[in-house]
Amino acid sequence: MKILLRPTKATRLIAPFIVVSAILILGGCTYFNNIPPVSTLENPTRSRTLGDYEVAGNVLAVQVCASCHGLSGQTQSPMVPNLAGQQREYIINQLQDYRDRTRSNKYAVQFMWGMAGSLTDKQIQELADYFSRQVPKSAAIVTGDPSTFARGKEIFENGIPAKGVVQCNSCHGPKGEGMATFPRIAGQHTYYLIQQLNVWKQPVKKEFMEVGGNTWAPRTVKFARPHGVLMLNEEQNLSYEDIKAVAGYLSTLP
Amino acid sequence: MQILKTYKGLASFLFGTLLYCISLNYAEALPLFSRQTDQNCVACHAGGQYPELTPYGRYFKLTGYTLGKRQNIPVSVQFVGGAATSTNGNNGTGQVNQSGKLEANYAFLNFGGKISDNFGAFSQWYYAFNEQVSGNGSIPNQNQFAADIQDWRYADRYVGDSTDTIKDFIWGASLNNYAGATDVWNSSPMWMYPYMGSTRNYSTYGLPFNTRLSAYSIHNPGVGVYAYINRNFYVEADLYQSGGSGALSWLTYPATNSNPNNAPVYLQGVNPYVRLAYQSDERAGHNWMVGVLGANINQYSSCTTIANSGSYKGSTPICGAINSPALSSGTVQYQDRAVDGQYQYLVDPHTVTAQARYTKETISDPNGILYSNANNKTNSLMTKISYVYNATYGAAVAFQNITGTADAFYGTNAVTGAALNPNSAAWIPSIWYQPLQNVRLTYQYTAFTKYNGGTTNYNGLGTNASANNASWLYLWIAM
Repeated sequence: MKILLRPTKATRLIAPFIVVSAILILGGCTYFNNIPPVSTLENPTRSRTLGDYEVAGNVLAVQVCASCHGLSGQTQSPMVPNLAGQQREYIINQLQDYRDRTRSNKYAVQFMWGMAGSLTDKQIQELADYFSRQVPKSAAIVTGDPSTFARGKEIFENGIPAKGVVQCNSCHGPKGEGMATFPRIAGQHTYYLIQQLNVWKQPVKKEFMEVGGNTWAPRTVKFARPHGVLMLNEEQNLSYEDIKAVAGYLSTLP
Repeated sequence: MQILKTYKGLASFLFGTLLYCISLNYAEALPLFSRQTDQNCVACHAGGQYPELTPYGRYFKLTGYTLGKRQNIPVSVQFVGGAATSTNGNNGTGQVNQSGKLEANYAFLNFGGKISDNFGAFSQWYYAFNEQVSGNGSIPNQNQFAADIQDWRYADRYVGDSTDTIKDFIWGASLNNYAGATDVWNSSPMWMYPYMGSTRNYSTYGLPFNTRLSAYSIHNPGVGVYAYINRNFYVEADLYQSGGSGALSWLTYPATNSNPNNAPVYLQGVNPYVRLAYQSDERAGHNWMVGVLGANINQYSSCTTIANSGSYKGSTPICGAINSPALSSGTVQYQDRAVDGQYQYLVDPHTVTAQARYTKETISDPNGILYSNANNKTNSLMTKISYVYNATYGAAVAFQNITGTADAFYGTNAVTGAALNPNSAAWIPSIWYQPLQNVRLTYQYTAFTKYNGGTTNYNGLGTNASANNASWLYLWIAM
């Protein structure tokens, strides 16, 4: 006698649903949890695989960095530095310092620690290639008090020997174009330059803040730029007026 | 949408599966987006005054919340509570004499963030403490868990060369539950100041409850598509439909036709919402936007509303469950047309932002469901300006004004008063202190200079507009 394993009507209705569901769960979870579409890793125009450690630096540059630093490395906000034509070695140093959380000025903590946190050394080098090759921003137009401008020019070219402040162009190049680990400062935003000069001017500055998006554990952050220790000597003796003067002058350098 | 309705069970199951997959694979969270990007709130929120977005915040939202690394526990929570004072039970909610007692108002549950490289979500749910849930003053306040703003997105982005005509093109689609939930400017109805109000005192939200714009009140499932070109030109179109039952009813939870306190909004067919905007580049820290937005909403009322309506002229509808739609009674048709604009100056430590929106609304109600006139018009102006120092100390002031045709009935809550019109005006100043980016203590005051058509004795019972003034000291914590 044949025993037919005859499914009930309900079972017949539910069975395909279960099979389809199992496929969807397996397929869906696999998709969501594992597979970046590898073909887009090198495609700067379309890639959204931005969290992948194999994604190319130039893809990150246009899809992520450009949101604030501009496609051409020229920025709109004075808080965000121009990167076009920046020294390659300098960009590498700074991105590594952001990633390792050793460059800890305020905006570094708020913006760049997160941005650089997952970068590989290879990506950092590719990003440095991308931005260092771009044409530097045309300089800001000279405005404001001529005597302040002259003071800035004086500090840039001759320093303040009486205070032991060395002239900027001795390391940053005759036109402020930078050299290797010394950054390009010509044509940079005045606001940004002042902020950074103040990091060295006030080497003990601290702020109680949340870091890296961790709202459970705010802590005191000591502002620092470890690759800029040479600047500490220069800035301690530079007055706030002189900082403004030299920053304003630098922004007008082509 | 119809397919989703038919396969309600399957769709719900798939959604559950999706949530399961998301929750399976994550390790730390809160607040969600900050942990996802490892950036501080000020990166996306202007001067830290969430929910106002910076240019980068707009980019983050429009690319589908996908930037950063996906979280293992994609959840954050928020709490809002404080002390409100007022002298009059206002806005038709039947609330009286807030005496400054400390009360919890909302607990929010947020989840979503990055799901895949192209999918992300902003999904907000709230638990309201002792809220006036029905808008009907005779029903007591209750606690309620409900779906708040939902914005589930697919987004993609093309980036060309900096010399191309189209060098940056973001496009995407959204499943959401409020017209304008998708918007990235804070002059749009969903995201405009005041950013928080008390569950116990609706004056803290500004203009009277019953004359708030209809586009704002569409709490319904909708799908839309959008594009953002060169970070200058924005265009979006959405279609909204009823959500009281079917596969998308979770978007309007807990509204059902059998829930006496929370009737779904029943819409006739699909209802369009359109948004166009021009966003300027940033110059020396300044940026601005001008835009237009509009919505056409054809809304049925529930049988309960018809039964309570004093102006209804049609035949008695045949009804099922207590809050089922009265389809035979026809619809109230709203047409909203608005122009809006925003200005931002964002250079630390200074943040200055300003928003304004002017809306013309025409309301057609031939059967007198909510209005006694067959046609009404309102014009409203909503503005706000704020300053924040060092993302810590802030102050804002808003001015809201609405004028409209005279009618004995306006919305579900009758305009009581001699003038029989909705003309109202309110000032809403506030100051706040934000010692940490996720903790904000705010004092907010609402002062009415006109209320339902009058400044003094507006309702013929001796009540002055100022009797509806309210103050609110509250704490907002996000974790």
